[in-house]
Amino acid sequence: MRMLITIIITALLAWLTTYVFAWWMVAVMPFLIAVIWQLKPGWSFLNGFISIGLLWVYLIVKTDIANEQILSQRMSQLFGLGHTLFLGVNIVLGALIGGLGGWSGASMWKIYKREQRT
Amino acid sequence: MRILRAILPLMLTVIIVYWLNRPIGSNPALGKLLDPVGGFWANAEPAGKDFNNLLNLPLKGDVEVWFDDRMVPHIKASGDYDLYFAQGYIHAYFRLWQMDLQTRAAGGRVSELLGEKAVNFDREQRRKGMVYGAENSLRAMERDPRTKTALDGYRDGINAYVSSLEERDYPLEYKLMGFAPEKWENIRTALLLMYMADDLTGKVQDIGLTYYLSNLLTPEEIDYYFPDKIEGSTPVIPAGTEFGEPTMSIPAVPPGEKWIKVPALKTKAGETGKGSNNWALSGERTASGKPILCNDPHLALNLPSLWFEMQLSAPGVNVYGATLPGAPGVVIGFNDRVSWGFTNNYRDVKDFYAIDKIDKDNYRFSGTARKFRKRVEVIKVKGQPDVLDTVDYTLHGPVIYDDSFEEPNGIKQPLALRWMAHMESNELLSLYLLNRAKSYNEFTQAIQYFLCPAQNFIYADVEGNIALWGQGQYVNKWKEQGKFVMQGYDSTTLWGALIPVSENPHVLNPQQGYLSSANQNVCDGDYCYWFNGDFNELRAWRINEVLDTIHNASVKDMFRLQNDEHSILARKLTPYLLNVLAAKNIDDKYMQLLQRWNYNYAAESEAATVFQVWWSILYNSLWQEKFVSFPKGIMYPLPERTMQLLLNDKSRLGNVEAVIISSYKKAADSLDKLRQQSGLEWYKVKNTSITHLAKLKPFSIEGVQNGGWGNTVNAMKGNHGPSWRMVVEMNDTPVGYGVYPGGQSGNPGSKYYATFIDKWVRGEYYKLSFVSSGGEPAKGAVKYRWQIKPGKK
Repeated sequence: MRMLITIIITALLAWLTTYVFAWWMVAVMPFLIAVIWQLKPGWSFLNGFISIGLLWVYLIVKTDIANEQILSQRMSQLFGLGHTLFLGVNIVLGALIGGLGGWSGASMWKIYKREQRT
Repeated sequence: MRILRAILPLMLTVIIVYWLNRPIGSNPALGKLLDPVGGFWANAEPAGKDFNNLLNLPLKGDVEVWFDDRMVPHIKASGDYDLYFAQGYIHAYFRLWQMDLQTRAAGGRVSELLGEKAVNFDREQRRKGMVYGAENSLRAMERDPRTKTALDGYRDGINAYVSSLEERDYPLEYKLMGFAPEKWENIRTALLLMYMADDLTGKVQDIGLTYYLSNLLTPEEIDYYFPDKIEGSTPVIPAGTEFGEPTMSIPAVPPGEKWIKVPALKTKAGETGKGSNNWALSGERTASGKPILCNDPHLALNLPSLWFEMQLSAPGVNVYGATLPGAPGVVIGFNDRVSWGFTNNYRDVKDFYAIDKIDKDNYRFSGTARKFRKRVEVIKVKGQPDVLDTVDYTLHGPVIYDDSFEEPNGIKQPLALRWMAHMESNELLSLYLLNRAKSYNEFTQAIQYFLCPAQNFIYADVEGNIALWGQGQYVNKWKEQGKFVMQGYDSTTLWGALIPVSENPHVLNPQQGYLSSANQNVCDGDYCYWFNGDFNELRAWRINEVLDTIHNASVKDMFRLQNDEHSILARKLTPYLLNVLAAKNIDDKYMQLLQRWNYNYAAESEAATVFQVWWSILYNSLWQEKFVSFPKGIMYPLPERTMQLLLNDKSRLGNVEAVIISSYKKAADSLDKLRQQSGLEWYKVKNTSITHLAKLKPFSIEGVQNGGWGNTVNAMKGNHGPSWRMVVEMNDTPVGYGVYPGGQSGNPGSKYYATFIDKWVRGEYYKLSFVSSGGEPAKGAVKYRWQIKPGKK
């Protein structure tokens, strides 16, 4: 349950802050959540990966359906990829950035803890 | 070490994010681009988007806009400022990137976006005086209160839209190319008009002809191969039209060396042959008894399209037609009373002068030293320091080529440009008044301000009048003045007096009951002033042949003629060419195709491919054969002249039959290959494409299935063709039909991006949703509404 809430909160925060600041909030938010909630490295990566991945899946699929794939078809040709592969790459990119952000957060938190111990 | 390992993920993340946030080379920043919130996804417009809108904008009164199902906006405002404000806002709303890019390019500012590789392009734009000319015209436009209001309103409208944008709202191409919109200034509109002037009057044959005269041909031979007026021309102003008494006489040709000598040319001369058609039938020739006016300007086929359809109404104006994003008003269209259209008038208004340079500050003119006026052009270059280019201005005009910017054909002497497009003129006022014209008289008042690019203005009105004017500003030249590169030190080569525009060739309600123009010669020998130009006759011959016999014409007949693919060149030449082969007992499948051919360049026609491949090889080898030392491909005599010589006067062509046979054999080889590769259908070989302005293939439409060619009325070439087809029946309330190869939206992510192309390819038309003054839109015509209220945004 706590996992699910973490994922939802990360995704929501990333969405909001992307609107206000920049796209790379999808790295910053998982980072902050990992630091604040002191997530373990493995889990923090997964949290970032899943929350941002789900967020991007939701946004992209919703936009693409409403747009009747007009633009994504053209963009996938621009990238020289098939349509589905292109969408996949797009989503995985977001998920990876989210995962990396989360993992970085956990590592930073660990350093902090170790520093306190010594 | 442990700390390093702990910091590693953070470093990795920062590096990757940093890398994804920056453009790499000419590729966009991937992270930004793929972000579903602000990246390209923000441009994926919902197909069912509700365009209804309530806006508060700094206007003087209320403005209402309704859109029909093709997204054509109909603006209703209570004054000029508001009208053009709304037009600017809407142009920007649908076409911002295109307006921005085209006017930056016109002003030589591409290096800002693309870096070093565009510096030469920018320098040439600056050196040929694009900005200089635009500044001159802007002065004239801002001096007149009517065009000043139009320009200011238009600018403020664009800027109201631009300042409402967040980065994620930018048109997609900004995100792909990595730049941002900037505030519009009135000079941008002047630059757009300059861009049109350059497109339509910028390519002249002066340098090529001077080369011929210096190295290969006598003056008599030049006249023979490149006649000023081709035999059998059916001129824009019909032969026999009476021209009024001229106020000036043609100056005598001055004695002495007037031309420079040009060494061997290194490169190909520029491609010419931009075309357009327009015509009007009087009521005597139409089924309805009312005039019909038709126009199809041929321009480069691009997406977003050059044109944007609109209706503009305010007190004193109610006009529908094709607008140019970047300029206020309607360019080609009709109102409650009159309709008008253009074709390019190819009288030569751009001449070169060789400059006798003494040192870096002085040149010689008429025996004395004169100082150059220096104009420093600052060219910003992406990722590099600015490039400063000092351009020397002479009394002729800017020195376009000198040792700092060499003439591409290898002419060493500095060349200055004397170009009508540099003159202070207010073409916008012409459009402003045309949009409001109610009679022939007001039409002639309006067009007198249209000085460059010169146009053949076709006119029809609800009173039943039709008229045609070869309108522009011209110089009273001595015979052949400016046909070759002139000696700039000699005062006798200077441009003389300007011909009053009222003396331009024109005709009102001719006996023949129709008028037409298709870039052919402007008038016959009775016209009193001398001119030369880059005229084409083939399309005009065909149009006049059809119109000559037309009676009870309907708009459908006009659609058919605009889409006519019949080639007079092919019809006249094919029987002769086949006879030559038959005499040699050559008979094969390709010849059989030609024997059965109706000379139409139809999309599916294989015979058209056979003829075109053969003709192209024949034409080139004929002139190569004739003038061995001509640089390959450069400026040969016109196809129509070549045709006349082949049929009527082979005396100077050498062994024509041998060339015909050898070119046929080469053509047959090429055709065999083509047949295996793709098939011989004409559309496959021609491959007409409508190319995205940034040349992005997925945003372009390629290989459309259509017929036609440059020498047919439907002048569909590879990347060039009818950019707006319009037919207007001048009933009591005019009824218009039109189509252009594009869509109202410039956004490749919109369903309105390329909407009209299929219909355009098939030669079909939309009925235009023009609403007469005081009228209401037809039931069900209104798809969306914008209500704009005055107030701070």
